[in-house]
Amino acid sequence: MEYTNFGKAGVRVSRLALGMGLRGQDDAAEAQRAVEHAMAQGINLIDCANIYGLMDDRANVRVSEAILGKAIKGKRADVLITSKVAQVIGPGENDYGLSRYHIMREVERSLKNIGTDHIDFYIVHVFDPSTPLEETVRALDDLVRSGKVRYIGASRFESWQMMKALWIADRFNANPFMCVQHHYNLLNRRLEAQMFPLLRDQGLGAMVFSPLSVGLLSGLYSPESDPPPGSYWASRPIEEYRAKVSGAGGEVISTVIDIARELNKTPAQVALAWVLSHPEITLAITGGDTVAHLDDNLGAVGWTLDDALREKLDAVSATLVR
Amino acid sequence: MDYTNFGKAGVRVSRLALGMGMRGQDDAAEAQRAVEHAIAQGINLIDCANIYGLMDDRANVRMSEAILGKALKGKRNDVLITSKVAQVVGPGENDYGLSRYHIMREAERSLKNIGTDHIDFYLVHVFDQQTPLEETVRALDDLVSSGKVRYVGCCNFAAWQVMKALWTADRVNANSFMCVQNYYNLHNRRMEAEMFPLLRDQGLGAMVFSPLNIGLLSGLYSPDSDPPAGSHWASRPIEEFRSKVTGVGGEVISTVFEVAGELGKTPAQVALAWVLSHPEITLAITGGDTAEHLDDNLGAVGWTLDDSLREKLDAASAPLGIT
Repeated sequence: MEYTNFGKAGVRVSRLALGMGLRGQDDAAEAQRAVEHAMAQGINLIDCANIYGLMDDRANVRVSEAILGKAIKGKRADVLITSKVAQVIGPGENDYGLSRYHIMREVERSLKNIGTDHIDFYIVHVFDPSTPLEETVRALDDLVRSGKVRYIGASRFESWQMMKALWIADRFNANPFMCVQHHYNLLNRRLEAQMFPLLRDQGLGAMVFSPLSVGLLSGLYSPESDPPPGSYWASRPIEEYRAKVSGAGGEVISTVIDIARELNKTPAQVALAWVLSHPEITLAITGGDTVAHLDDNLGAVGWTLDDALREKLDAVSATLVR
Repeated sequence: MDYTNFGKAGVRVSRLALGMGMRGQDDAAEAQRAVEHAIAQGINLIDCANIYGLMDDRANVRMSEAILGKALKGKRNDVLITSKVAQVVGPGENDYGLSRYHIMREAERSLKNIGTDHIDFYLVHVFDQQTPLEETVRALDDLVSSGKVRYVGCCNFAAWQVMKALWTADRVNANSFMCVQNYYNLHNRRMEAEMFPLLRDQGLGAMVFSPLNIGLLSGLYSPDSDPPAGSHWASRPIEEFRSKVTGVGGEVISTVFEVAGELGKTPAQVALAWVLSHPEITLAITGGDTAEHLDDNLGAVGWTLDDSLREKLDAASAPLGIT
């Protein structure tokens, strides 16, 4: 495994993290084994959230945190964990958002649910336009100062929202966000236009999710055929799948498969290596619902794409930058 | 003419401004008459820059400012003017950018060239990666404090760069940007993704340029034929024109024609009215190299597109994306 500083911060992280969204996992014991296996293979950051649960089903909120707690028993000091707050967690008026009330309530619940006294990266899951950002920034700062949280970050903020949050933290001498979490892969390069220059300018680190675009770049799917039975995309409307794998998207997938063959790597490894080739990206969060997928993904680190192949992937996905 | 506050600032501006980029004008006397005509018709903001000159030719830098100065004689107190700094104005190491040195030198040159003691909106023309933003923000603040400039703003900044500038101004207690100037029209709606929410959040005003996308939305051009002889697009490679008017771009143009026909307006008026229908847009800068074009454009104010026609134009241009 390779490790790097998280942006300009001192903490060191593995370039692959394990995500506990569990989109395709319905077995808690298997999910726990995947976390244990990830840690044994050198992954030192596990990405979680208060809403995550088996099959990414809102009926299972908080289940991922409970599984994470079991998996890190006896190893807590050697692994970094995230959790998140802001998404709807119940039917009540205060069951979502970024108010001080909701943040404080949810962090206590997450700590208890995971069975730990601190969360390493506590991340706001979405922007909340109905709460003053000052209220959110001050609440998060209090969590850092009281030791319940080590670092704070923001998921899916636009670049101007991130700058506003950094500005407010500066104004109140509060601990600022040092981490962004965003969607980034060969089929979605929107992060490059505004967020990449911001990350360089401010020295923030970035964790990216869906580096394989929900499996489309994993090698399991081909533009020429329907999704294999039992796969995630076989469970979705076929038109949605076909829209993703036709045109520019399909050309990207084919190019990934070609390069993988040329390098004797798997498509997933090539698509992940392309993500990790950007210095703005600190780490990629892989799903790896099963140990076999995770082992495939682990083969994305320890080597780099040469410039010619990287440029080939850049070119074929260029129309997807915006 | 309709007037509005510039963002949250107190100053009131006409919703159409005249731009002095002079892309298609080679006659200084005619350009001066266009400014005088615009002012007579109620336009109270003229947009200029140190680099602007006849035919938008860098051999003619500073000429638009000189024309503006002549047109303003005796009317300076009734008109708001902009100028801009940052673009390359010469071959020297300090002939561009946003250093304190260059800003102070160029502000003095612009004042002298226009023949005025103050510029109402002084805008940085592009972001300068080589100069600390704090140096720029402090220099602009000193121009405001010393009375040489009334307001400051920025052109062509990304949303995060605007936020960084506002943050920097707050930190050093400086006058902050109250104005952005960006590219916006039915063919290019990129401002909507990040800049629109920023403008609402921070209360800034926006001047937009190319509201007719260099004439493509003016009615002079049709997706079905080549550009008319003597027009701007006839002077460009034909492939470039064709790529702009085929596919979605062409459908947008056809929809503008259709809506114009339905309303008894000109295509230019419809395309401008669509731009001005967004509350985030304070004013649109029209080129109007000739008095006829300007008179056409003036017909874009005083009425509003109804919701169904606005939605039709939104839908036609939606595939062009907003990010």
